[in-house]
Amino acid sequence: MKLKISSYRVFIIGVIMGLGAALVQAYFKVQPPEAYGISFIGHPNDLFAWLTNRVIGTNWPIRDAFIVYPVLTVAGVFIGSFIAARRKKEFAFQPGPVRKRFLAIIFGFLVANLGLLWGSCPIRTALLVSYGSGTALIALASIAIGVVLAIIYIRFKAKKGVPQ
Amino acid sequence: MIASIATLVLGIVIGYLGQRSKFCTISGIRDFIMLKDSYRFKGLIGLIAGGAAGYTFFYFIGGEITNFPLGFDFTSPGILIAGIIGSLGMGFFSVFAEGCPFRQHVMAAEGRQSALLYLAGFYLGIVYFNIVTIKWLDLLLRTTG
Repeated sequence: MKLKISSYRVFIIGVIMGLGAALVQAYFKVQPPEAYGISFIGHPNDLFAWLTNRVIGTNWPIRDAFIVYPVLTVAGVFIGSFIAARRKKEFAFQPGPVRKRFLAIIFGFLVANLGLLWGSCPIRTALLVSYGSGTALIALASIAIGVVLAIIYIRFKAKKGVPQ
Repeated sequence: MIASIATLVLGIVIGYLGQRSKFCTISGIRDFIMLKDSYRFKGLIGLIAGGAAGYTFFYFIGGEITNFPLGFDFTSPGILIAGIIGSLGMGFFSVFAEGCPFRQHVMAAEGRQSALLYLAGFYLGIVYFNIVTIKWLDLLLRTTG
Protein backbone atom coordinates (compact mmCIF):
# COMPACT_ATOMS: atom_id res chain seq x y z
CA MET A 1 0.00 0.00 0.00
CA LYS A 2 2.86 2.33 0.89
CA LEU A 3 4.48 1.67 -2.50
CA LYS A 4 1.23 2.47 -4.28
CA ILE A 5 0.83 5.81 -2.45
CA SER A 6 4.46 6.74 -3.18
CA SER A 7 4.07 5.87 -6.85
CA TYR A 8 1.00 8.11 -7.18
CA ARG A 9 2.38 10.91 -4.99
CA VAL A 10 3.56 12.96 -7.94
CA PHE A 11 0.16 12.51 -9.63
CA ILE A 12 -1.57 13.86 -6.52
CA ILE A 13 0.89 16.76 -6.38
CA GLY A 14 0.09 17.52 -10.03
CA VAL A 15 -3.62 17.53 -9.15
CA ILE A 16 -2.96 19.90 -6.21
CA MET A 17 -1.01 22.24 -8.51
CA GLY A 18 -3.82 22.23 -11.08
CA LEU A 19 -6.48 22.86 -8.42
CA GLY A 20 -4.34 25.60 -6.83
CA ALA A 21 -3.89 27.35 -10.19
CA ALA A 22 -7.66 27.22 -10.77
CA LEU A 23 -8.40 28.46 -7.23
CA VAL A 24 -6.15 31.54 -7.43
CA GLN A 25 -7.71 32.47 -10.76
CA ALA A 26 -11.28 31.92 -9.59
CA TYR A 27 -11.14 33.76 -6.25
CA PHE A 28 -7.85 35.67 -5.96
CA LYS A 29 -7.86 37.72 -9.18
CA VAL A 30 -4.83 36.03 -10.78
CA GLN A 31 -6.09 36.92 -14.26
CA PRO A 32 -6.08 38.03 -17.06
CA PRO A 33 -4.79 36.15 -18.99
CA GLU A 34 -6.58 32.85 -18.51
CA ALA A 35 -4.93 29.87 -16.76
CA TYR A 36 -2.18 32.11 -15.39
CA GLY A 37 -2.10 30.70 -11.85
CA ILE A 38 1.29 29.07 -12.40
CA SER A 39 3.76 30.06 -15.14
CA PHE A 40 7.50 29.80 -14.88
CA ILE A 41 8.03 31.85 -18.01
CA GLY A 42 5.32 34.49 -17.57
CA HIS A 43 5.66 35.05 -13.80
CA PRO A 44 9.47 35.48 -13.76
CA ASN A 45 9.13 37.83 -16.76
CA ASP A 46 6.39 39.86 -15.04
CA LEU A 47 8.35 40.06 -11.78
CA PHE A 48 11.54 41.08 -13.56
CA ALA A 49 9.69 43.63 -15.73
CA TRP A 50 7.91 45.03 -12.65
CA LEU A 51 11.25 45.46 -10.86
CA THR A 52 13.08 47.03 -13.81
CA ASN A 53 10.14 49.34 -14.55
CA ARG A 54 10.23 50.54 -10.94
CA VAL A 55 13.99 50.71 -10.48
CA ILE A 56 15.35 51.76 -13.88
CA GLY A 57 12.16 53.26 -15.33
CA THR A 58 11.81 50.92 -18.32
CA ASN A 59 8.43 50.32 -19.90
CA TRP A 60 8.42 46.55 -20.35
CA PRO A 61 5.01 44.94 -20.69
CA ILE A 62 3.44 43.28 -17.60
CA ARG A 63 0.29 41.12 -17.56
CA ASP A 64 -2.76 43.02 -16.30
CA ALA A 65 -3.09 41.14 -13.00
CA PHE A 66 0.34 42.27 -11.76
CA ILE A 67 0.77 45.87 -12.86
CA VAL A 68 0.34 47.43 -9.39
CA TYR A 69 1.67 44.66 -7.13
CA PRO A 70 4.25 42.11 -8.32
CA VAL A 71 3.69 38.41 -8.93
CA LEU A 72 5.49 36.46 -6.19
CA THR A 73 5.28 32.83 -7.34
CA VAL A 74 9.03 32.69 -7.98
CA ALA A 75 9.82 33.99 -4.48
CA GLY A 76 7.31 31.51 -3.02
CA VAL A 77 8.86 28.55 -4.86
CA PHE A 78 12.33 29.53 -3.64
CA ILE A 79 11.04 29.75 -0.05
CA GLY A 80 9.00 26.53 -0.26
CA SER A 81 11.68 24.38 -1.85
CA PHE A 82 14.39 25.84 0.39
CA ILE A 83 12.32 24.95 3.49
CA ALA A 84 11.70 21.44 2.11
CA ALA A 85 15.38 20.93 1.27
CA ARG A 86 16.53 22.18 4.70
CA ARG A 87 13.94 20.12 6.58
CA LYS A 88 15.05 16.93 4.83
CA LYS A 89 18.74 17.88 5.02
CA GLU A 90 19.03 17.96 1.23
CA PHE A 91 20.28 21.52 0.94
CA ALA A 92 23.92 21.68 -0.15
CA PHE A 93 25.92 23.63 -2.69
CA GLN A 94 26.78 20.92 -5.18
CA PRO A 95 27.70 20.76 -8.86
CA GLY A 96 25.36 19.65 -11.62
CA PRO A 97 23.08 18.47 -13.03
CA VAL A 98 24.57 20.12 -16.17
CA ARG A 99 28.29 19.40 -16.23
CA LYS A 100 29.50 22.36 -18.28
CA ARG A 101 28.72 25.58 -16.42
CA PHE A 102 28.74 27.79 -19.50
CA LEU A 103 26.18 25.53 -21.18
CA ALA A 104 23.83 25.90 -18.20
CA ILE A 105 23.81 29.68 -18.74
CA ILE A 106 23.22 29.25 -22.49
CA PHE A 107 20.35 26.80 -21.91
CA GLY A 108 18.71 29.19 -19.46
CA PHE A 109 19.06 32.05 -21.93
CA LEU A 110 17.59 30.02 -24.80
CA VAL A 111 14.71 28.56 -22.78
CA ALA A 112 13.70 32.04 -21.56
CA ASN A 113 13.64 33.44 -25.10
CA LEU A 114 11.90 30.45 -26.66
CA GLY A 115 9.43 30.20 -23.79
CA LEU A 116 8.54 33.87 -24.05
CA LEU A 117 8.07 33.42 -27.80
CA TRP A 118 5.26 30.98 -26.97
CA GLY A 119 4.37 32.89 -23.80
CA SER A 120 4.13 29.97 -21.38
CA CYS A 121 6.19 27.37 -19.57
CA PRO A 122 5.28 23.65 -19.89
CA ILE A 123 3.22 23.88 -16.65
CA ARG A 124 1.05 26.75 -17.93
CA THR A 125 0.81 25.05 -21.32
CA ALA A 126 -0.65 22.00 -19.53
CA LEU A 127 -2.97 24.30 -17.55
CA LEU A 128 -4.12 25.93 -20.79
CA VAL A 129 -4.82 22.46 -22.22
CA SER A 130 -7.02 21.75 -19.20
CA TYR A 131 -8.66 25.15 -19.85
CA GLY A 132 -9.66 23.78 -23.25
CA SER A 133 -7.18 25.69 -25.42
CA GLY A 134 -6.56 24.15 -28.85
CA THR A 135 -3.45 26.28 -29.44
CA ALA A 136 -1.98 25.07 -26.13
CA LEU A 137 -2.60 21.47 -27.22
CA ILE A 138 -0.51 22.14 -30.34
CA ALA A 139 2.17 23.79 -28.13
CA LEU A 140 2.21 20.83 -25.70
CA ALA A 141 2.62 18.46 -28.65
CA SER A 142 5.46 20.69 -29.92
CA ILE A 143 7.16 20.53 -26.50
CA ALA A 144 6.90 16.72 -26.61
CA ILE A 145 8.34 16.70 -30.17
CA GLY A 146 11.20 18.92 -28.94
CA VAL A 147 11.90 16.41 -26.15
CA VAL A 148 11.85 13.51 -28.65
CA LEU A 149 14.28 15.36 -30.96
CA ALA A 150 16.62 15.92 -28.00
CA ILE A 151 16.46 12.20 -27.11
CA ILE A 152 17.25 11.27 -30.73
CA TYR A 153 20.21 13.67 -30.65
CA ILE A 154 21.47 12.23 -27.34
CA ARG A 155 21.20 8.66 -28.65
CA PHE A 156 22.96 9.64 -31.89
CA LYS A 157 25.82 11.24 -29.93
CA ALA A 158 26.00 8.22 -27.60
CA LYS A 159 26.28 5.88 -30.58
CA LYS A 160 29.18 7.90 -31.93
CA GLY A 161 30.78 7.82 -28.49
CA VAL A 162 30.86 11.60 -28.01
CA PRO A 163 30.46 12.63 -24.34
CA GLN A 164 27.47 14.91 -23.60
CA MET B 1 -2.50 42.96 -3.54
CA ILE B 2 -4.61 39.83 -3.07
CA ALA B 3 -3.22 38.33 -6.30
CA SER B 4 0.37 38.94 -5.12
CA ILE B 5 -0.24 37.24 -1.77
CA ALA B 6 -2.10 34.36 -3.45
CA THR B 7 0.83 33.73 -5.81
CA LEU B 8 3.28 33.85 -2.90
CA VAL B 9 1.28 31.29 -0.91
CA LEU B 10 0.72 29.06 -3.94
CA GLY B 11 4.43 29.37 -4.76
CA ILE B 12 5.45 28.22 -1.27
CA VAL B 13 3.08 25.22 -1.48
CA ILE B 14 4.15 24.10 -4.95
CA GLY B 15 7.81 24.81 -4.16
CA TYR B 16 7.62 22.55 -1.10
CA LEU B 17 5.71 19.81 -2.92
CA GLY B 18 7.85 20.14 -6.04
CA GLN B 19 11.03 19.67 -4.03
CA ARG B 20 9.69 16.62 -2.22
CA SER B 21 8.34 14.93 -5.38
CA LYS B 22 10.96 16.07 -7.97
CA PHE B 23 8.04 17.22 -10.12
CA CYS B 24 9.19 18.14 -13.64
CA THR B 25 7.15 18.27 -16.83
CA ILE B 26 10.08 17.93 -19.24
CA SER B 27 11.77 15.09 -17.31
CA GLY B 28 8.34 13.44 -17.10
CA ILE B 29 8.02 13.32 -20.89
CA ARG B 30 11.74 12.43 -21.31
CA ASP B 31 11.71 9.57 -18.78
CA PHE B 32 8.46 8.19 -20.20
CA ILE B 33 9.80 8.10 -23.77
CA MET B 34 13.44 7.25 -23.06
CA LEU B 35 13.23 4.92 -20.05
CA LYS B 36 9.55 3.89 -20.01
CA ASP B 37 9.46 5.34 -16.49
CA SER B 38 6.09 6.94 -15.84
CA TYR B 39 6.73 8.33 -12.32
CA ARG B 40 7.19 11.98 -13.23
CA PHE B 41 4.92 11.75 -16.28
CA LYS B 42 2.08 11.08 -13.84
CA GLY B 43 2.69 14.58 -12.48
CA LEU B 44 1.94 16.11 -15.87
CA ILE B 45 -1.20 13.99 -16.19
CA GLY B 46 -2.22 15.00 -12.65
CA LEU B 47 -1.65 18.67 -13.50
CA ILE B 48 -3.95 18.49 -16.54
CA ALA B 49 -6.54 16.45 -14.62
CA GLY B 50 -6.43 18.77 -11.58
CA GLY B 51 -6.60 21.86 -13.77
CA ALA B 52 -9.54 20.51 -15.77
CA ALA B 53 -11.40 19.50 -12.59
CA GLY B 54 -10.62 22.80 -10.87
CA TYR B 55 -11.56 25.09 -13.75
CA THR B 56 -14.78 23.16 -14.41
CA PHE B 57 -15.78 23.08 -10.73
CA PHE B 58 -15.04 26.76 -10.04
CA TYR B 59 -16.73 27.74 -13.31
CA PHE B 60 -19.95 26.00 -12.28
CA ILE B 61 -19.97 27.38 -8.72
CA GLY B 62 -19.51 30.92 -10.01
CA GLY B 63 -15.77 31.56 -9.71
CA GLU B 64 -14.06 33.98 -12.09
CA ILE B 65 -13.20 31.46 -14.79
CA THR B 66 -13.59 33.66 -17.86
CA ASN B 67 -13.80 32.43 -21.49
CA PHE B 68 -13.97 28.82 -20.34
CA PRO B 69 -13.44 26.64 -22.35
CA LEU B 70 -11.08 28.55 -24.64
CA GLY B 71 -11.61 26.25 -27.63
CA PHE B 72 -9.45 26.73 -30.69
CA ASP B 73 -8.15 30.17 -29.66
CA PHE B 74 -6.21 30.64 -32.89
CA THR B 75 -5.69 34.37 -33.50
CA SER B 76 -3.11 34.67 -36.28
CA PRO B 77 -0.68 32.45 -38.24
CA GLY B 78 2.23 34.47 -36.82
CA ILE B 79 1.31 33.66 -33.23
CA LEU B 80 0.90 29.99 -34.10
CA ILE B 81 4.31 29.89 -35.84
CA ALA B 82 6.00 31.67 -32.91
CA GLY B 83 4.21 29.32 -30.50
CA ILE B 84 5.33 26.17 -32.31
CA ILE B 85 8.95 27.35 -32.70
CA GLY B 86 9.07 28.52 -29.08
CA SER B 87 7.55 25.44 -27.51
CA LEU B 88 9.54 23.02 -29.70
CA GLY B 89 12.81 24.78 -28.83
CA MET B 90 11.85 25.01 -25.16
CA GLY B 91 11.27 21.23 -25.06
CA PHE B 92 14.54 20.53 -26.90
CA PHE B 93 16.85 22.68 -24.76
CA SER B 94 15.11 21.86 -21.48
CA VAL B 95 16.16 18.22 -21.91
CA PHE B 96 19.81 19.29 -22.05
CA ALA B 97 19.28 21.63 -19.10
CA GLU B 98 17.91 18.62 -17.12
CA GLY B 99 14.53 20.13 -16.32
CA CYS B 100 11.75 22.62 -16.96
CA PRO B 101 12.01 26.21 -15.63
CA PHE B 102 10.01 25.26 -12.50
CA ARG B 103 12.39 22.39 -11.69
CA GLN B 104 15.39 24.69 -12.25
CA HIS B 105 14.00 27.14 -9.65
CA VAL B 106 13.53 24.26 -7.20
CA MET B 107 17.02 22.87 -7.85
CA ALA B 108 18.52 26.36 -7.40
CA ALA B 109 16.86 26.53 -3.97
CA GLU B 110 18.46 23.13 -3.18
CA GLY B 111 21.88 24.63 -3.93
CA ARG B 112 22.51 23.00 -7.32
CA GLN B 113 25.17 25.11 -9.03
CA SER B 114 24.19 24.53 -12.65
CA ALA B 115 20.58 25.44 -11.81
CA LEU B 116 21.81 28.73 -10.30
CA LEU B 117 23.81 29.39 -13.47
CA TYR B 118 20.81 28.37 -15.58
CA LEU B 119 18.73 30.99 -13.75
CA ALA B 120 21.41 33.61 -14.39
CA GLY B 121 21.13 32.84 -18.10
CA PHE B 122 17.33 32.64 -17.81
CA TYR B 123 16.96 36.15 -16.34
CA LEU B 124 19.54 37.48 -18.80
CA GLY B 125 17.37 35.88 -21.49
CA ILE B 126 14.33 37.75 -20.17
CA VAL B 127 16.24 41.05 -20.48
CA TYR B 128 17.34 40.13 -24.01
CA PHE B 129 13.78 39.17 -24.98
CA ASN B 130 12.32 42.44 -23.75
CA ILE B 131 14.96 44.48 -25.57
CA VAL B 132 15.69 42.51 -28.77
CA THR B 133 13.57 39.41 -29.42
CA ILE B 134 10.27 41.23 -28.87
CA LYS B 135 11.09 43.46 -31.88
CA TRP B 136 11.67 40.41 -34.09
CA LEU B 137 8.44 38.89 -32.82
CA ASP B 138 6.59 42.10 -33.61
CA LEU B 139 8.05 42.06 -37.14
CA LEU B 140 7.02 38.41 -37.59
CA LEU B 141 3.47 39.15 -36.44
CA ARG B 142 3.18 42.16 -38.76
CA THR B 143 4.53 40.18 -41.73
CA THR B 144 2.30 37.14 -41.23
CA GLY B 145 -0.78 39.06 -40.10
